[in-house]
Amino acid sequence: MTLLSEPKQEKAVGVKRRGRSFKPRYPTWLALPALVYEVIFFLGALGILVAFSFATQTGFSQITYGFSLDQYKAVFDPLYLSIFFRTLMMAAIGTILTVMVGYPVAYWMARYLSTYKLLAVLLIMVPFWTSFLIRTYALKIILDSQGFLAKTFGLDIMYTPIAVGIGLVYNYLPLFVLPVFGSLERMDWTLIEAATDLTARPLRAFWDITFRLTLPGIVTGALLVFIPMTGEYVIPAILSGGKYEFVGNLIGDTFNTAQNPPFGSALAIMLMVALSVFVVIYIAVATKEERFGA
Amino acid sequence: MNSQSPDDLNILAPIEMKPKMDYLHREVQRAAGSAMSRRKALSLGGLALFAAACGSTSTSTTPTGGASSGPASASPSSSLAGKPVENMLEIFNWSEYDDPSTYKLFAELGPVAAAGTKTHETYYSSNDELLAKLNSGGSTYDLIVPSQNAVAQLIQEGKLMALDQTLLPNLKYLEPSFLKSSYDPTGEFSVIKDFGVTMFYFNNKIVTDDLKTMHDFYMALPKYVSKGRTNLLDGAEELVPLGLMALGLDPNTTSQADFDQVRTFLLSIRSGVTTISADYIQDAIAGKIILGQGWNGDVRRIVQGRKAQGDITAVLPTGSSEVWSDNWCIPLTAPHPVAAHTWINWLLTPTTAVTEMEYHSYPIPIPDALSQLPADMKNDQLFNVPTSYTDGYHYILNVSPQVVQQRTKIYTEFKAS
Amino acid sequence: MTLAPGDVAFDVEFRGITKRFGPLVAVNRVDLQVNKGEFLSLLGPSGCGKTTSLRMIAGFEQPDEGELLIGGTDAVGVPPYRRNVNTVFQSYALFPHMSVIDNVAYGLKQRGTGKAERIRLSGEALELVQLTGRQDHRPSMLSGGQQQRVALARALVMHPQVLLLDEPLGALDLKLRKEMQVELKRIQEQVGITFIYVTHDQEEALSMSDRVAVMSNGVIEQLDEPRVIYDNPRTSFVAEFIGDMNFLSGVVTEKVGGQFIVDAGGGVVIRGHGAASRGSSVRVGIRPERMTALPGSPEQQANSAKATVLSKMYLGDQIQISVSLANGQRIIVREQRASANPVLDVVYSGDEVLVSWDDKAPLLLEQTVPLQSSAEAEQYTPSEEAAVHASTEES
Repeated sequence: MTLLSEPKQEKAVGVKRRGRSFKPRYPTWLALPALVYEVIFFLGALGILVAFSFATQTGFSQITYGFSLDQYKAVFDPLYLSIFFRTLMMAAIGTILTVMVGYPVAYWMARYLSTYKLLAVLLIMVPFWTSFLIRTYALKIILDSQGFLAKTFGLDIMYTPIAVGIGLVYNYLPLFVLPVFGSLERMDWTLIEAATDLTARPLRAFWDITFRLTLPGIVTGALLVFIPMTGEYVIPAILSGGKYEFVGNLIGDTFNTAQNPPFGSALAIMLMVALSVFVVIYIAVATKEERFGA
Repeated sequence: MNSQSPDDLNILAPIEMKPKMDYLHREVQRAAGSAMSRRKALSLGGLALFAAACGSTSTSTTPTGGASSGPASASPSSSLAGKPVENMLEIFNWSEYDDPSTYKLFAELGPVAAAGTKTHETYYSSNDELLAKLNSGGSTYDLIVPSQNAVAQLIQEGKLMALDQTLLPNLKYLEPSFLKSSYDPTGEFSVIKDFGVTMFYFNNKIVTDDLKTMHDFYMALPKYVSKGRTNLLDGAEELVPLGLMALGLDPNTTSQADFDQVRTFLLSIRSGVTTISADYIQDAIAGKIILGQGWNGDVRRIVQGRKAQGDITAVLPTGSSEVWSDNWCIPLTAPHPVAAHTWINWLLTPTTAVTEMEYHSYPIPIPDALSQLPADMKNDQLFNVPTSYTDGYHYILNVSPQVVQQRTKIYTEFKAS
Repeated sequence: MTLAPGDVAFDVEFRGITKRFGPLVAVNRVDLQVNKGEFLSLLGPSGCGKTTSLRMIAGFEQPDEGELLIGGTDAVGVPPYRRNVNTVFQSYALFPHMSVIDNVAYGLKQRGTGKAERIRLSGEALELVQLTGRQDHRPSMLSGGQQQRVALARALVMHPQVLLLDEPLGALDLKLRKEMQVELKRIQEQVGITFIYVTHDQEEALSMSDRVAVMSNGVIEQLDEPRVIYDNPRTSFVAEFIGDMNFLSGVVTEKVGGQFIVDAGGGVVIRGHGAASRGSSVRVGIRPERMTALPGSPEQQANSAKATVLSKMYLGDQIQISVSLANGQRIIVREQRASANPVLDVVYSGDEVLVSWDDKAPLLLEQTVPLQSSAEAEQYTPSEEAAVHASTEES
């Protein structure tokens, strides 16, 4: 509706507009495909999940719709809470590791590379050229008890939380490096000269200036990896040997093995609720970034 | 079912994408160095139920009586006798599950050739997918190949046609103990296609105990885990019923006391488990697994793969373990039931069964056919599992949503602890 | 013979400093001595090495060769944070996430100055640069001139031995720039700190500095007081870079005492003062404002040449004509309008005029001596003459 009324509005304020800078009329319908897509595949799917979560399972392949909070109550079983907690912990550890591994490389790329900067960005993206699944299987081969790491360094970490952590960092690193690289690219390095000129030691200057100014980029990147990590499914499945499950695996089991869409939906929605807290933080920081323009 | 399977990733993909996804999955498996076993394919899937749930409405049109209520379908057998073979046969099957010559020779059978019957086959890759397709009601099939679980569910929902025994004279070749089963007590609705069992294997250079039963297997886990990797089959429908059987309990129990007992038992051996995975063949052949559960077809490959080392002992457990089966069934709505019966009867012919077994490597319980197999197959207990074992084994069924819930929770707790 | 830091005459001293960037020699064996408390400008076109020199003093770059002394002590290898010099950056380099007061107090904080003291000193610094009442603003909320003042305050609050300014006014508009020039000079006089000021704007350098070092291609062409730079440029580069200059080339035909006669061809004869040797080819520069143009065409003589007017331009307080001399060379003649011959106002393109200058106007800039008389010519050293000239002017 608003889409249709917009051209009229434009006419009404046409006189005022004349004074402003040139801004060609935009064919608003170009935005429609995306809107339709979002409505059907995001809101639609979400709606189904919500409807499921309030329903009751009455048999295999059968549910009765209604408004039952039983599924949500069931989520608060200590068993499931412990899996939520584990998931968030592992995702947090994975995110911290990703930041620790990713920030230095983004820093190096942004500040010390010139000719090969684009090449470096490309190389960071290389893992994304192959399927997520193949990458994780490849990692399995490396981490295996008879694999490269074990044979060369005696590190047999397959089927441990460490393997899951490595898998998380490996698969999500590019998602972190790119926004942070972007943030560091916009960094005015004379600010660092100014800080050292004002007798700040290099590390001090880094914390006070570079880190502080790229913090929005770090938060963006961290959330960009943290959120999908909490929904991770394949990595724990393959690299933990079926142990150290994430909520994603539990949701999968609930839908598939237990054939219980209502409970699976309730779990999925609770995960979304838990994540939205982090998204709020993200929005707060992202708007702050605009204010500095750094 | 199998949450470890990356295939479940496509949970929100459209159902039509499933064959493609499965194909991709197989390719990935191949790339990763492990071919997919039939049994493993069985455990894949998941999307189907989601789609099924979308398709069904709260006002169910199918009878939803309890486990005790009998099949709702009327027997049409009397009406089929003497009718001609139709000119079409629509099969909904697991992919690459029957020898190409079986189709060719079927078409050359007298009545089939006379009717000019055309056989058309489409594929699914999980029982869930099969159930979803049948629930959505859009397609009509003459033949389907559900596993024991799905057979029980379809019988319960009254979706299967009672078979006309007069059109299946070759049933006489079938091993009598396979004529009726816990999932089809009257034997009216299904004819077994092939079967397998769950067993265990160990590295005899490391595990020196004489393990005979599933209980022995579980007790050995904590003892040997420090020596190498141990593996359990994944999925709640494996873990919990196998645990129940190890305790000598009914795998399809509904008793809370039984569930409590198996939960305690499983948690007590949890520390002895390195991995919970259906993806074990390659690792076992590489000598990475010292003690693990497996399906007989896979274990057979492992033993063959470690022949040079000779360090794998494969054990068909005495006492209780799992037996699974795939079955020929005819949906109630099948438009070409005579042709379907003709097909089943043709598959029960010993010569056909020999070709089939050589093609897919799963035993068909037809003694005349088994005896014609090459020695390395028929004398191999891992392939031709003696009835002395299978008689004591049980089919695992999805008894009720409540039971599945119980199993899943124990499974989740087992994995999370 | 090490001197105590307080005793040395120079705040900054370059001794044969060279700095290379790959194949490029940015600074080439430069010697420079910056006196205590002076306002010294490094002037030159971009790429002349002035900013590199400044960055070496700040410590952002290290010289490849030579010695760098700050306050009499060797500064080579000393990182920026251990040098008692501070910089005002061209882009100001204010910390965008900090308030004005936090920006100014940043250096003090690094030094460990207490909070109250930090705020007091920072407030004073902001007062010095006449920026008060905006302490809590973010830099992005300030105008360019105000940001400039913050940058200045942030450096001054450190009480550096030397303040380095890297084209600090470059981003400001003309009017603001003029204001800030006066302001900077006032502040420098008030605090008495040595200022080293990098600029490519000759007017800015000449108007503010005690001394100007004109740089080109990594070397200092001339280091002198602004007036000497202007009146007695030592090289063609300096002559051309500073102000406008007419160049005339010719051969020295006579040399009597300190005087020389140059025949520039076409009957144009230049008489001037300087150590030129007979027979050598020379290049002579004459400032446009040292020339006068008279309508009509009397006879040519030394320092008086016939010319044809090509164009005329009014420059507000000045009038400028472009003329073609009898030898075909084009020169510019500029006069104050107040003192201009009123007749010049009615001179038009194509008119004949007589351009003349006194014999102090020609500056001997280049001399190519014929081989046989090279010994004589080598004695010519413009710097000596300039130095003598400067000293006599001062006394």
